[in-house]
Amino acid sequence: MTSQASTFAVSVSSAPSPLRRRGNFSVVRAQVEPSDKSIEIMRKFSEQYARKSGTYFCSDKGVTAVVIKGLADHKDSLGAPLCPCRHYDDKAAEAAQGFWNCPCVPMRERKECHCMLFLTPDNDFAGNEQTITLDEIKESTENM
Amino acid sequence: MSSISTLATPLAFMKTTTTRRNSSSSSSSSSRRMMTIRCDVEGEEGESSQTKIGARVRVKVPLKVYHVPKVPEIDLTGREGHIKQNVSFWKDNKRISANLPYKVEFIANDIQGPRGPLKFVAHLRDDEFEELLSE
Repeated sequence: MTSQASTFAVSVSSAPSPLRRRGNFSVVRAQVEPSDKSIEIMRKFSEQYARKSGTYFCSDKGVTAVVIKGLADHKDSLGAPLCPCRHYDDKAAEAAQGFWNCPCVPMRERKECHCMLFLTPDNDFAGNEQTITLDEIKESTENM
Repeated sequence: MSSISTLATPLAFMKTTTTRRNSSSSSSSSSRRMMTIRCDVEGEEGESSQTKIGARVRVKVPLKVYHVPKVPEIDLTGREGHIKQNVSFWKDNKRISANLPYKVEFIANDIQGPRGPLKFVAHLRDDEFEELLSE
């Protein structure tokens, strides 16, 4: 059983009928938060890999934060940090095979990160930092 | 963009068939036509249907890789290698959504490795190389 989305919304609306209630719309949204430990692990990994590869985080740290959270979430659910910016038919197989495990093959070989987590200096969106704090991650993503 | 491209882009070995079905819906007076699109996967398991494993290939686009140990940057343009594996087929019946499915092994005669010319592997797309047909 693979469910791709970690959030799902269920809306319950009343059918038009003579006994019409006032529009009952209840949206249930269940989102599993990645554990703090995983976020910290992926944060450290991101800093270390950016240093090692000579790449920089996005000038908008919110982008970096969301990707790190996505990586942490996959690490919790699949055991491996699958790239959070892609769609997969079979996540377990992808995690085991490893092409899209962060750092993915396109990043490792060509320094191409389409999540915009690791940006080469010539990229228009690259900032000049290779660090991000846990607070920055939490603040940027608290409204999600 | 790439997050939806894995499903939306038809792969070379997939065949799409469209069938039309006439169904009369209960509510509307006129009959509605429903089109179903079915993608059948052609091609054998294990070996790629387009390009064979073991084929000699040459890179035809400008391409640099940075993952080879002790060599920060290698220019692959024009280099020749042979296909080792197609990584989009995995464990008999599983499909992986890799966008660089062809694992090609190169032997760089101009760079020295620990034992002789440097050997390394890179992943390529099928439009980045051409097959060498002559022996």
